[in-house]
Amino acid sequence: MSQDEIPDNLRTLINEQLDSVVQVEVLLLLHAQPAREFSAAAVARELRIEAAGAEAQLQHLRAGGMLESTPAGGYRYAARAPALAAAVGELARAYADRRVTVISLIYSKPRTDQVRTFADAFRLRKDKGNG
Amino acid sequence: MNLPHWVENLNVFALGVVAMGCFVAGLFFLRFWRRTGDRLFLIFGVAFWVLGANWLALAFIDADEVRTWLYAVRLVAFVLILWGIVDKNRAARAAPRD
Amino acid sequence: MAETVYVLCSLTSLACAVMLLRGYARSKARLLLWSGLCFVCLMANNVLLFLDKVVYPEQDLFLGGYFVLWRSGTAVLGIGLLVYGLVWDSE
Repeated sequence: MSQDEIPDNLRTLINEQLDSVVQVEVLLLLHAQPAREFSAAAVARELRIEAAGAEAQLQHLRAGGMLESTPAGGYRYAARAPALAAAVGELARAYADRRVTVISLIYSKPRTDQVRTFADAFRLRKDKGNG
Repeated sequence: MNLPHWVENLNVFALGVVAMGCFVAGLFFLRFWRRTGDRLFLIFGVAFWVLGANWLALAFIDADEVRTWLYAVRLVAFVLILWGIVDKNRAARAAPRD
Repeated sequence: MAETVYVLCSLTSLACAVMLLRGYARSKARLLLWSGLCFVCLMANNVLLFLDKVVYPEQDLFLGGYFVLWRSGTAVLGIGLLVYGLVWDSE
């Protein structure tokens, strides 16, 4: 299970946007058929999850810029930026080849350091990174 | 002061609760200081202990807080907090390695 | 003299509250929420002290309650929120 083989843009995508396996499954389902418009019910049927949960995931992915909504109230895969599209492509590849690695990356995101964040809140000049 | 007994009692009790809470908060901040080495937490810890002392003293003082020197203690606590904030921002600019 | 002190303390509390609550909005770190709310209560405590001792010195009652109880009430609430946050949300 080597995490070094995961490309950086995918790593960033996971850190910034992807919180669960369900989310990845929904995203890849729509990514696999980019011309097709999906309703929440259709997604729920295909993945065998609750429709309300499917709707929530679809909305979250749309807010993240990976899906667009259609006039009929459905969703279609449409990554806003080429960098995002590339990352989702990497996700599809990695999920096919190294599913366990991807999943463990999703669930091993470091939790916010509360104490450190408390001290940082008093910094008036925000330069991220060191210190 | 000519307040009813229950008001005075409740007030003193509340001040005791607050003093205890400040003591505990100060302990947590000192623990963070030990854990991270960040001076802000030392300063905040002491500041909250001073605030706790302020409220503790208030429980014993019958006379007017304004006429006694007690507000100076509160001032010390908040000046410490201000110093902590200033100190953190000076350190951030001088040495980017906290 | 006392007036200046209470105003200074109110402003300092406000500044801390703003910094912490903005930090919470950015990071979602819950410790900042509780401590930010604590400083809001401390600001209220200082404002009430100012009102009690400087603006309405002869008055014991305020908005249907006793001044002293409003004051110690805000302090209890503020410190209570802070200790809650320190206990549960400081890892």
